[in-house]
Amino acid sequence: MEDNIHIYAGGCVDKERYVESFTELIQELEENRRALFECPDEIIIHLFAHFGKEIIKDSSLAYIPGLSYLSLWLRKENLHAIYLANFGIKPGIRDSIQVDSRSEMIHVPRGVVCHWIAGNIPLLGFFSLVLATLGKNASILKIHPSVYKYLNPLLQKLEEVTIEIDRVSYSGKVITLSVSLVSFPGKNEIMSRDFSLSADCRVIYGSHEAVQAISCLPHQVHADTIVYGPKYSFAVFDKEAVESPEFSSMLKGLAQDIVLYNQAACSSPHTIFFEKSKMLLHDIAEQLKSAFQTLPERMFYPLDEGIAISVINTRARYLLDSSKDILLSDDLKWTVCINDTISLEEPVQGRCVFVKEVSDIDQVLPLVTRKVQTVALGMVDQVRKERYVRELAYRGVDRVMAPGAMHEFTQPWDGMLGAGRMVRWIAVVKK
Amino acid sequence: MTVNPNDHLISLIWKYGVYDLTEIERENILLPIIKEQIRNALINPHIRSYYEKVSMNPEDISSLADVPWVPVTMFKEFDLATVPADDIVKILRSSGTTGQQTSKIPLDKITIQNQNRSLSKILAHYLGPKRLIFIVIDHPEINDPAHEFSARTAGVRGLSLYARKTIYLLKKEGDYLTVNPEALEEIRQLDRGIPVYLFGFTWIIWSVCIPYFKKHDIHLHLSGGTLFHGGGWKNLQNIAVGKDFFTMNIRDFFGIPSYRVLDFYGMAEQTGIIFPDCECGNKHVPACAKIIIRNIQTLKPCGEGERGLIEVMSILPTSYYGQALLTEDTGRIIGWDGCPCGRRGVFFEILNRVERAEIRGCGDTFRVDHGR
Repeated sequence: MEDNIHIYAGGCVDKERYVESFTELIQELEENRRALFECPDEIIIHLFAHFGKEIIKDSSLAYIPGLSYLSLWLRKENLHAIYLANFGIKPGIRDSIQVDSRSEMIHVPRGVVCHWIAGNIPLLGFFSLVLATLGKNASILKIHPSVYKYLNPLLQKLEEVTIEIDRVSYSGKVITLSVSLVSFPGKNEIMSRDFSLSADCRVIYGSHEAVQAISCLPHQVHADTIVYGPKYSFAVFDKEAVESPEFSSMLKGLAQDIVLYNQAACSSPHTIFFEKSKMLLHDIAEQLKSAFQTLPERMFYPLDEGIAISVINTRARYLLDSSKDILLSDDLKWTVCINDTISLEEPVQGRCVFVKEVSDIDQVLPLVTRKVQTVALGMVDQVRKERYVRELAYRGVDRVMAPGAMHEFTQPWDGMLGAGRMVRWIAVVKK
Repeated sequence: MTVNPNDHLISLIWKYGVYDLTEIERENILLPIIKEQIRNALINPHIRSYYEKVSMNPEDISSLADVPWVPVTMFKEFDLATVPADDIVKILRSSGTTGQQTSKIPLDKITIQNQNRSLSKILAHYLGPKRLIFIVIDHPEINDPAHEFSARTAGVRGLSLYARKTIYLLKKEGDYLTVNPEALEEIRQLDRGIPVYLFGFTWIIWSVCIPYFKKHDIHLHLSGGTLFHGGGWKNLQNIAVGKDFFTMNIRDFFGIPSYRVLDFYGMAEQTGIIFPDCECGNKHVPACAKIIIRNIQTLKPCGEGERGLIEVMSILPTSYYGQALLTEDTGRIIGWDGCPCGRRGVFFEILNRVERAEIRGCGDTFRVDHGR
């Protein structure tokens, strides 16, 4: 079994299968995606939005990490905004965009999108699926087996969703019949090549090693490849923000950013820089500690054991080193390591964050590379902020967010409009 | 040499049988000793820093479970000596089995004496009062002081305390280990049923010895032998070889009765304490030590049957902070008393070593050189 492709039950597949190639699955999806193509864009958005409302009401799904955020993200207004940002038009108004007086362009699906989904964020696959579906693509998601228990119940729920618009009834099946969940050993070159060659578009999430290896696989000449590689995120607070009345609520937001996904996301902050202010760094760390303590118990998911060991060892280093300072919970809920070395610390993950004081936030800028994804900015002065954002962006930062909003799955992401990359633009001459 | 003020306290422990303490007795006997040892350990700036940061005063420790523990890997990064440098007579350097950095464990005379005494008592419990012939299922260089000290070295050195004579069954041929025919012949010449004890790493026994014995159809008759084997089961588990199958092969090829094939657990950082299987396959804790299994998420002591990280506490080290060491191995407590073998106190089993996180994904950044 291990040397076969595992096609899970769910989506377009009734019963799980173990197969040697993707040929048959691709044929099924190719047939099914026609219905999705014919479905109005606005209906797809309605179905997702309705589904978003339903999942939060269903207590049987409450165990899924990140469910409430998914529900929020699937709001109709948000999906409209994503659609507009990616395709340059509002859904349902008209299909084409005027290029000049003679021609226009319309977007069409690329076909079958093959997603390599990393296992660190349980619902990552679903977000990726929605972006592909907005472009009316069929999707095969190669998942880590551990996330099937999250994704399949959601697909089942989506399948059950029905809406009625203008007395016409639509079912979520129009989406789920164009989706399949699979897994196979990534080290199996034959299966990996087959999967890659099956794609009209490849979407790759993962570590450096993973994205390098997958990117090098042979692929169709027409296929685009979208890479969401490894990224680092951090936070910066200037003096004015630290001394502002909003500081404690900013820290509470940041504590949430640290706790969500156990710091395993590319948008998770690992280092926080505070510009020198009236407050001592230790006192700021104490405030961050209080922020952690106000978070509800349900936000703290068990740590991967290997990560737990890393946290334990990091804690010990800071406890034993008399030149360093640390605040920590009795359990492994949160760890605040304090030092003044101006650097981006190696991520430990597991809700272990490094806080540092800088005399000027500009000292942080030389640390920024293209590997930095999100910077949470705590700044009050808008002029200073604009200048700082520009400088961060020039040096490679992809997203500048407010503390507490680092994980918002915005478009663009990693410098790209993901859904927009998953469509082809067709030129049509009017006359 | 500095007079160690808690030396007399430690000596009290030798009055007790190795496995005679219940957990309540253990708590009552070890706690004052460990508290005194911690007072002395605060001479070390790292330990002092630790205690200050967790706001822990040795006087306030009311239970062994409250003693601040240090992860064993910290011996690779910090000098955890708790006696003046002049008192250190030896630094144990251990490469371990997985790490690249070397652990440095500073030993004074008292610690070495304590460790030797403890090991002798544990071995005597399993082997009887007389010194025996010791068969090492490894090559002689493993015990060469010029070579790096490894977990295998620690095992050989520790167990050789009880040896009347040592025979190394293996030899090195280039980078490979193989059976030394001369040593094998010497073992064959031993009287049938003569009491001997053997030590080797489980994987080496399985991958070097057993195939050689099979190929050459060798069957020893060590019916009076006791095999201590350690180093974990991961490699064997990967090829679906379990404890029972391993033991059966030892019985068939070495002639050692199954109940004297003893898997044991130990570490260089807690030399002097080993945890061999009892006749019932459980591991017991000697009087000078305590085992706490800690929940990996809460770090609180686990209940019976709950898997967690193994913490080994010991009163043997006076020259370094070995009073409470947290390992990266997991285990579970099987019972608090009442193992059918008759040994008292907690009995437990080793499960596995915690592995590096498997799923890293898009958050798996960095390594300091992070490019452009």
